[in-house]
Amino acid sequence: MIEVRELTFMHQGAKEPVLRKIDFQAKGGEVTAILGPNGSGKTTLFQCLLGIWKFHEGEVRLSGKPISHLKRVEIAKRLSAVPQEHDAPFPYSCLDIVLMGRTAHVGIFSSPSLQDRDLSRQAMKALGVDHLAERPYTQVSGGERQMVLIARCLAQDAPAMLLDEPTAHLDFRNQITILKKVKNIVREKGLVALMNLHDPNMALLFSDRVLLLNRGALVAQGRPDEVITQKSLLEVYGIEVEFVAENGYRVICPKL
Amino acid sequence: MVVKRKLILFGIGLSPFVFACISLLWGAYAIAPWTIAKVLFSKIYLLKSAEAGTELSILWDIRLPRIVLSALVGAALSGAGVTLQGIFRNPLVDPFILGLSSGAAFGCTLSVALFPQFPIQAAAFVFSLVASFTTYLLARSQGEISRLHLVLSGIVISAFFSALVSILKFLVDPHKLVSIVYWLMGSFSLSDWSSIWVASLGMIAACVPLVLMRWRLNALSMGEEEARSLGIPVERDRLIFIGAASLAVGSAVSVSGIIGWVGLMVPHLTRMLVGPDHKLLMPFSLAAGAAFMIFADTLARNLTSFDIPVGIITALSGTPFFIYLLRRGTGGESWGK
Repeated sequence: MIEVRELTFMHQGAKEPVLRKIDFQAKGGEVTAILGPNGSGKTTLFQCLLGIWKFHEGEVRLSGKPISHLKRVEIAKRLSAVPQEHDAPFPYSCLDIVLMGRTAHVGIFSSPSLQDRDLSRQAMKALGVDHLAERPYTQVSGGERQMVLIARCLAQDAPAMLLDEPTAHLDFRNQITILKKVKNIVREKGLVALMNLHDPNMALLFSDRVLLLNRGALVAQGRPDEVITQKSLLEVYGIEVEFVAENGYRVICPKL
Repeated sequence: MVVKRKLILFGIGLSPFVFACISLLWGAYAIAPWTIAKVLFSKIYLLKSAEAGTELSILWDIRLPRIVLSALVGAALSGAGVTLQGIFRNPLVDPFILGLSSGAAFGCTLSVALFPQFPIQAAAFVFSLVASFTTYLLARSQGEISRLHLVLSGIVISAFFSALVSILKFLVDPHKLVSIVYWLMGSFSLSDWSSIWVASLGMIAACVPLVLMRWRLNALSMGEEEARSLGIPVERDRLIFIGAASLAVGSAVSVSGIIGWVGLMVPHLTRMLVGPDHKLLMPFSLAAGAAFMIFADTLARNLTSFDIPVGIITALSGTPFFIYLLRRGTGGESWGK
């Protein structure tokens, strides 16, 4: 479980805080989506959760432990992350990339064991990318890269994972495949998944809870159909929308 | 495919020994292979031998120390190259470009010219460390390290220490100047067993953490934030890696002067052959570096009637190689962007 209480974060020397009194919980087995316009603090929030930025006020607990008391390795054992926009400096094989997920479990003076390799292979299999194991990561498609990175999270074996805009730069088909896969795995393994999204429609379709972030503050949270409304979208994005209902789905359509 | 790969790995692993044998055989004074084997065997097992004398002293006091020293220096420089390329996620850097070599050279020159009581190796290590951290901090001042900033910072620091070396050369008396200039060009011609003991301590001490921690270079090369989220304390690990690379370069420069390009070329060639995974790349780069340096020094010793500095050989082969890398496009598919 990820628990965030009254989290306030300010960059050094800045006048305005980037995040103000953020307060939420993300539970196992649920996909929690974070929606918000560019610059609303979504990525900064992730960096605070990962302990990359030190916040001054509030508290973040990972599986019950406040992260201010946790070492780097211990954070990594509790929380894995799929980074945004990704590139490898060298043409590592996809298996090498997934193996990096074992870093927190491998001693500082050793290399991954056969067991680590097995776990990584299994993680790749769970995402249906085991056939890519020997292919260079720099030469596979964007959708395949995301799958490999999610497999790396599984290999990291943490109870919670962060996905920073996992569908950015992906085509329509890949967006759907990735989100479906994430949702299934989260259900199956009872993982906590916290995911930044741009498209509220995707949040409606694939998330169990939604956090709506605007200018560093949490303006609403709850079930997707409660949070994503005409009023809240107008307030946060400044866009007028209509909801279209068809076959039991609710779809957001901007008024043109 | 698997068999071919094993053959390549086997070949690289064996190459330092092959080149060492060639180097033992090839020299101004011709010695038959059979005699070499006999002389070395009897020396090692302390047997009396008829061939003692000229052959023994040529092999044991001249050729062998040069081979051992050039192997150590080649391994140290390419190990440092692999490390720097890994932690800075930049395939275009090496100890020379980032200023480590110039820093070490300044330390040595300072020790030779002004403070003879201060050991050369220590001075080389200290200033190589100063240079690498200044480059690192300068590149870092803009937040996450960009490739352009890193290379520019390296050039600035390198130029600064080269200028300091020039000042010392200008001030020092002409006798010392000659030895400084010749030594700076990079050469193994002065190697003997005593210099090997001192320098090998530093180089081996540096290579131990590099080899033991090599797998972490994979994660570190993915960038600061990602390495952190994977569970790596980035500052601590960088400190260890930069420290070890500086020690390797400092010790290498203190015995052989500035030998450029090895730290850039060898890691690249090895990466092409064994792949980018540092678990294999590091040990095989050490072997390939040793082999390449023995080879280059054998050429330096034998191409002309006098000993040309080996740094000239490596620079002559390095320039076309670098041009090839640039033309191939560093942003090309296989090197990432």
